[in-house]
Amino acid sequence: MGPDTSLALQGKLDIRFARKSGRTILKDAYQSPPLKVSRVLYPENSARAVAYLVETSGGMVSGDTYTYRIHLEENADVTLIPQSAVKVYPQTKAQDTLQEFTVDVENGAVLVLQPDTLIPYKASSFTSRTTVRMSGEASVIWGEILTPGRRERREAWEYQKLDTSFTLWINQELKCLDRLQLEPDKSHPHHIGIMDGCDYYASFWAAGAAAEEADAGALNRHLLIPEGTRAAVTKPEDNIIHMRILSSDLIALKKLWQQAAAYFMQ
Amino acid sequence: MHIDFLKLMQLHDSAFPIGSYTQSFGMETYIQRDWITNGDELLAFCESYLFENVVYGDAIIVQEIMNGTEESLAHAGAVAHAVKIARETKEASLRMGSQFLQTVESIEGEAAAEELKRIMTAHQLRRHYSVVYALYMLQTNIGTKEAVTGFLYSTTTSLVHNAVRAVPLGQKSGMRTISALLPSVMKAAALVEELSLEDVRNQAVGIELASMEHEHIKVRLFSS
Repeated sequence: MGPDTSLALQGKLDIRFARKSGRTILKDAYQSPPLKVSRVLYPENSARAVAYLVETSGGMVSGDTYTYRIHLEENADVTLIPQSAVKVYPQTKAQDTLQEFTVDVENGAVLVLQPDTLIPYKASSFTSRTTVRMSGEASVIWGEILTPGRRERREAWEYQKLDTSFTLWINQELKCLDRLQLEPDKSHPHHIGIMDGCDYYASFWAAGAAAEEADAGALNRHLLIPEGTRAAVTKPEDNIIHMRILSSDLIALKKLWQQAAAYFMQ
Repeated sequence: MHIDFLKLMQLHDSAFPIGSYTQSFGMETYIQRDWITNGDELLAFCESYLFENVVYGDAIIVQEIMNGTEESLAHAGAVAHAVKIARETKEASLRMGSQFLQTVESIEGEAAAEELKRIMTAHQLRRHYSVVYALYMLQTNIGTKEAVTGFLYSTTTSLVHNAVRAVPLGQKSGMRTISALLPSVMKAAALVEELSLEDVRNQAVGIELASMEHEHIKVRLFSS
């Protein structure tokens, strides 16, 4: 007999943004619990929409699958902000917890996702798959922030498995494949070469038109990297900027990520 | 003993001119921070590089190309390129692949090199070292496991040779580190046999970040 998945949630959020009369609008939205999108806000101007990604269950449990499908039509300009950290509860049914983002961004559109933290609890197992398919004339800013768990409760590196991947396609060509799988029981992330004693990790991506003119050296010099935090910028392709951050100070790491994002949002 | 065994030794001789002596793949950042100061620390670094980087990256690419089909070649080549995020590491891999091809041409003749170039053009493969190496291996009688094991051995031990110069360490200390790595290379080769293109990933976040940090270091010995 298979595991009891009766309480597992299959959350879906399928949202489509478009530009209409100079304003970015939420054109379509399909949402099934516990995933929702907030109403669209315009804190800066009507061209740039801001929406919150809402998860109402308070965290993911074993067997949960959350599927996000985000589509930006031509010239839409959207900033998406997760309302809270992703908490992953202990694996109880020998089933993984899965989160999938599939993102399509058309010509001239701008998408910014401001990541919140991922907090894998003791004995949890989490897989995240992000696929971004974009036009070279679009711009995407994306990122990820990983924590070792509930460090303040002395529950760090006690999860079973954390497997995240980010796949970037520009103009139908595979450009970057960034996947990290951590299993602290098998190989402790503090080891030299993995996370080098740090507890927190973040990745930052700027891709497409936004990254074309950017210079990795200039951005690296622009960043205020605090003592005890490591970060560096690289340009793996002519229209992709990437930054990795390792730190044991979550606040410093988040500030650095925001600094990099602000550099492109000016 | 078959002559191909000797050919494998020649390809992985530290004097084989692919430019590995100019590449540290981020190790120089660790050395400059005094995180690698002796043989034990070098061994720990090399084991991470071996198990967390090469095994889940280039070694899988070599295996996939040697065991794959014509149809799977292009995808393996695209993954080989896409998984290298740090620009210096990506450029180093491409430079070593080109130099490997030039050396093949000088020892095997123009026809052998032209055949490799034809395959790479037909499948839109960039000249990453892992890709060119695997395609060349297919022209020999060397088996996949031996080719992968040799690749794991030479990519890891070239870092030891470079560390001996950069830390600096004594030659005997370097040889002790290589001896200590031999069982790990065998273990890594067995691990690669269990893996496929689906397993490719960037496990060694610290080493990759070090390669990115290396781009911004002003005084350095190595290109990556």
